[in-house]
Amino acid sequence: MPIVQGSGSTRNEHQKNKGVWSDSGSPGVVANSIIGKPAPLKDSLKKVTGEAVYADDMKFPGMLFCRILRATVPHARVKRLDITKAQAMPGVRAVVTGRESGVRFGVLPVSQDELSMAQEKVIYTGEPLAAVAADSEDIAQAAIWAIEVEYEALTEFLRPQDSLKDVEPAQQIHDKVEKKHPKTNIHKAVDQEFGDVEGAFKQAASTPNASFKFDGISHGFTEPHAVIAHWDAEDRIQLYTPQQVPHYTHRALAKVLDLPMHQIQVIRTTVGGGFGGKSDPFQHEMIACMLARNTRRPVKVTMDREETLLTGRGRHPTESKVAMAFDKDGKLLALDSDVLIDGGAYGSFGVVSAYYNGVLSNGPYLLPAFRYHGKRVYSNRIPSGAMRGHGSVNPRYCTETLVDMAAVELGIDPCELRLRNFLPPNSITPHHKFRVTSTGIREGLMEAMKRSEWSKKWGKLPYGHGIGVGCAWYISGSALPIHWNKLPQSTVHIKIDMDGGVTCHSLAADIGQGSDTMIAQIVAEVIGCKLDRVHVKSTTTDTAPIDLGSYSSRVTFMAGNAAREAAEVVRKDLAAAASKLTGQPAQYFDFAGEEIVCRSKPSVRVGFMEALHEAQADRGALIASGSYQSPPLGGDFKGSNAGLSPSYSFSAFICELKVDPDTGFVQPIKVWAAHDCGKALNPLSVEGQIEGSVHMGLGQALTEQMRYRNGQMLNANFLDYKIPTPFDTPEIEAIIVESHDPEGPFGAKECGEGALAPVIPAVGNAIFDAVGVRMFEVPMTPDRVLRAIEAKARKEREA
Amino acid sequence: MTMLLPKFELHQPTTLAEAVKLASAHAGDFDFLSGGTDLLPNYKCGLNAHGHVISLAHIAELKTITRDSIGAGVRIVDIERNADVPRSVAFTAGQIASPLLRQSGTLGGNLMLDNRCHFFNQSYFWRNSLGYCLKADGDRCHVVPMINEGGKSVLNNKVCVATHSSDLAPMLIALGADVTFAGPDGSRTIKLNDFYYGDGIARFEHRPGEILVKVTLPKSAHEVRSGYKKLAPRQSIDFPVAGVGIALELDAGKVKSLRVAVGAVDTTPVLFDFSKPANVKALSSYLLTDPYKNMPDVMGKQLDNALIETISKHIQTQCQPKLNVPMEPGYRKKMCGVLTRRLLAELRDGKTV
Amino acid sequence: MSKHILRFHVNDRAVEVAVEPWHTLANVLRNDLNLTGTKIGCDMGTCGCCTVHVDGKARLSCLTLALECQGAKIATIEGLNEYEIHPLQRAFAECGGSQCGYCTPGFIMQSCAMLKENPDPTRDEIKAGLSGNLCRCTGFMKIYEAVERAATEMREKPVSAPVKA
Repeated sequence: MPIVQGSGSTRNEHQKNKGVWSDSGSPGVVANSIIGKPAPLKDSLKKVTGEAVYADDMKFPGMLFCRILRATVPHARVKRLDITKAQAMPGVRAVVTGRESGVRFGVLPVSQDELSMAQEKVIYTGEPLAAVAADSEDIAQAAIWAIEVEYEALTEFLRPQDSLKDVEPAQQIHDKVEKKHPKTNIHKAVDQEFGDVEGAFKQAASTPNASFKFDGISHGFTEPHAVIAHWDAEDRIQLYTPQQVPHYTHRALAKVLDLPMHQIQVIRTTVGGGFGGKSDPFQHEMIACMLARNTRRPVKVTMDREETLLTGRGRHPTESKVAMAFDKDGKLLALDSDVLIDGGAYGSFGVVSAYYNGVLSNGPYLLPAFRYHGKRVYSNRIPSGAMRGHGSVNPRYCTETLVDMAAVELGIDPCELRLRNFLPPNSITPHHKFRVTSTGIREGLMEAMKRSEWSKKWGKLPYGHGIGVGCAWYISGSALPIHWNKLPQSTVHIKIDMDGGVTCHSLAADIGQGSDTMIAQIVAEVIGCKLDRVHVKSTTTDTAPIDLGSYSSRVTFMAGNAAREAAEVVRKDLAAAASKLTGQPAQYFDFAGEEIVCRSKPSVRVGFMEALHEAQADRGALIASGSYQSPPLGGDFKGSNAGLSPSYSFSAFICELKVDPDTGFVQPIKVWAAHDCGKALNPLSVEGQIEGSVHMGLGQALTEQMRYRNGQMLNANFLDYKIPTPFDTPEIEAIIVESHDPEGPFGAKECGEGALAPVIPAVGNAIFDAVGVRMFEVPMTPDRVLRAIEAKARKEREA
Repeated sequence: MTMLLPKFELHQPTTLAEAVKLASAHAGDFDFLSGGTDLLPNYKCGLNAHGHVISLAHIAELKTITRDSIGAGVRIVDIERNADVPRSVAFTAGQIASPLLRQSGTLGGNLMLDNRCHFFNQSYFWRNSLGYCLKADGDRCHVVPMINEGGKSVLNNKVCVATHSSDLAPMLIALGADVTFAGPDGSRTIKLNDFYYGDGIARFEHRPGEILVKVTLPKSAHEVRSGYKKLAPRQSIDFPVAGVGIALELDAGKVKSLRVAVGAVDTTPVLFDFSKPANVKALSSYLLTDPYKNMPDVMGKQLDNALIETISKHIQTQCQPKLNVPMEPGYRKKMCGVLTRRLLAELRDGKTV
Repeated sequence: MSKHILRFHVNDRAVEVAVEPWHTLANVLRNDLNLTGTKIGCDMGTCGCCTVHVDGKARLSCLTLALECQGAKIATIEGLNEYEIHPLQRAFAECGGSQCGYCTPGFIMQSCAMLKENPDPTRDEIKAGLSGNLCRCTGFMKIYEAVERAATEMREKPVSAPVKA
């Protein structure tokens, strides 16, 4: 398992696997017996045997089946919605419409713009209008088509440019829009300028600039949306849902259903992939609960693939104009970008997207001057939202392409130019005050260069064969919670009773990334027990303490720190017990291998169970709580919160590929993916996250796009939405870089999202190396690549 | 939920005769089911579903495969792995969809694949939003909304341009395969190329009650140089968006016979028979690709790069793909030329699949 | 149109179930027999999540009518570990070949069918064999490793109690 040590690395003894190490936030000494060792995911045996229970796998006595009626037009007033025929059908138990609730919700408190079902107007093709609960799916579906709808067309906004225009209030998609542009369909505008941008461009030796266009991307998780709601006899609602963020759904349900939160239990089912696509509170969650309330029966909603794609929240279609300025030595002077992002019908995470598209360009290079105009607009298309690498992926393609163009113009190797500009460890960005506690990007890039034999290949491969580089950084969790409050962002509870089982409670959602395993590893490491003693319960809001869930790549950093803090409380209890049993001072014990060993006299040791039972004397189960709250960070300008994180991950990828100059087909050969995750708590999972990110990034780079015709998604199925197959996926060499973050749990940072962004520019830059064309449209489909090759040939002929 | 299949009665005959009888009895209200990989997704979308489904999966007579003939019920995977059929046919079979789909799909199903179009291969909800189309539930075409009739541009409520997306059909047509049907009036055998005609709805010349029994390959299929090249967005799972099958005979480097069949660019596969352009069936008025217009004379000529270029150019010029399957028509058209050029050079140079 | 009795063997057990002609094998396994290990991802044969074995061959259960399996022997993911965990299952778990797990049963069933026909596949043959299955989490690398590891193990020690289907 290749692990590279990054700068800021404070310890390396653990690599040899014998020493002990203490990291700065952790009092006491921790053996290195579980952390850093590859651990299969704790639930993997259930998944490989088919035992894992996903929402659609569940059945309840008397359960009803729900189907949803969806708008068939992009923007229209609902003149008539007649449910009488549907209601009269045998087997139909309830029909609900927008009349059920006028309460608006949304993941961000500033964008409460979703209704459970449309009321007086529909705003995208696919928007829920009504829903039926019936004895069978067949009946529910038949009832849906028995509902009569009449529309009166409104002006449709299907291109983001149209949404910038001033229009009559009646034509606005939402009542509430950006204050600065009250007559438009602009959802959020961000304008920021720091440093002397004009001056930088004037003195620059190279000022690459270009216009870029990105199609919308879907998360493409394999499990279609499915939920079950049950309004039980005690008047509590139980919602079974594959949520990345049960907590925000919990809050939204309380608002929409007008219930105190404690009357609602959200139960996270096994999540069949999320990638950001299961992190909004959803209309179908509300609908299931309403139908359950009206029927007093469990109600299941399972979408088909098309509905799942229509529910959306994927990566925003984006159009950007970006320019950068470099001096003659390749030093970055300034960035100037103007970005238009198509938010689709709802706000979703869009305010954050509007900021991230700009501010996350303040790394991984030192950026002295920065100007950003970003607009996220509403349109009558499928809602965009948060997707893996939220808000950073498309702008990263722009900047990495321009960096490459500057390198070529200045005659500097693109990797070398990047090395000259990286933010150093223990630094702070000049304007946004993003704090870089640790970075291993330099080591990562150099390692990727070495393994890919970059210097032998770049600029030297035959025509049609190329190599390219892309670098990126990403937040390890947003430093600020979406709902402003003083509660910790993560809390972990531990309970150990006389059976010796270590039960950890958390609401961090394991969505397949392995967060339960991460929590178990940390707890087992701290208290020196075997991994299989630790059981993580992270599904149920009744028993789990609040955690903001799995978005913004925050879980390892935040829930991991909370788990460590809780485990340290238990450790103290066990040490005190061992002290009592042996007469040795409590602070002199090491914990490992199910034993508590006296450091000065290793022959003096107490078994885990013996110490546990002693610790339990007179008090019963050991109970502990740990939590995490980000430190105060950032500047004091408007919008200064966006992009703040207690720590940042860094990545440097190199891609080698072949381009068929006659067909434009791009065949990636290999990707060397160096990612600085601080410390690989579970190298198996870290590699899995990097490899999965590369695959997903290659999809966006080459084959995936949400295609539309008049607001209808043309390819809302897995035949036409083209996720790369095994044949389309090259060998991926994950290179783990460890920079040992001073504040991360055992030095760890994120690895689930940051590793996606660099793939796409690495592909684009390799295409340039192969055939000499720059790709400004993503995905880089064969027809687009061929068109670029032909345009270049035409230009050369004319010259 | 899963996409619901419409309700139908399933018939599972075990003999051809029984199947023919069922097909006659339910004429106009049935579909054949073989592997199910085409019919069932279409049924799930509510596309032209019928009250009766006649399964052909249990008829032993359809499942024989020999050197010279392949039963319509033979699974694609068994063609792919068969050592006796021409290599090019086995190779083409291996290019279809994915291993899982090849495991279910059959030869007959691939040849009788329903035509494909962005506006047709959609859910009932989607098509309802669109306002339906000529090929299912509607009365107009969204790909070619207007047609020329008597010099006037009128609404197209007649011609469906959905694309025929079989991989095997162009290869087998290039090889000169015949197809045999069993029907209420006995059996008949025709050229596979003559089987296909008409627009995206009619698709082929299929008489009531008839069942495709087998494909027969001429002896020459084993002797000619032959191959297939496919264009698809991904390297697995996908339908072709252009496919070129070629059968070529050379005599001392000179063209003795040349048949190029192009799939997935029109409502049927299109045969360019350079060997006997004069002797072709009348082209359907729907077919927009005219293979014989300005067809270059290549017979007896040295198959050098220049001639290959001439042939590929001709094919590229004549193919008229529509914007109704993935990838742009202009690009696909160009690729017809590229695929032909590459495949011809490979066949000339003796490169085999 | 009425329900028909489907008699077949599922994971070595004789099963009788009344099904509608338009119900797929996936519907019947999941809804009637509670064998929910078989997943439905795309419902049109393009993701491979629903792969099961029908008479020893891998089949997309979402594109197979249940009644077409009259008398057949079906094996599902639940049938692979009747007595002990199957080497493929263990390898997928231990190599990190499963993250969210939704595609995993399909991958394992397809791998199992592939290894029956080719017990010693190369990396390219594995890629080809799995090219009809989509995984959104792993980037496939760890799936290949898992299949390679299981193949080695199965060649050395053939699986003792496989489902007979």
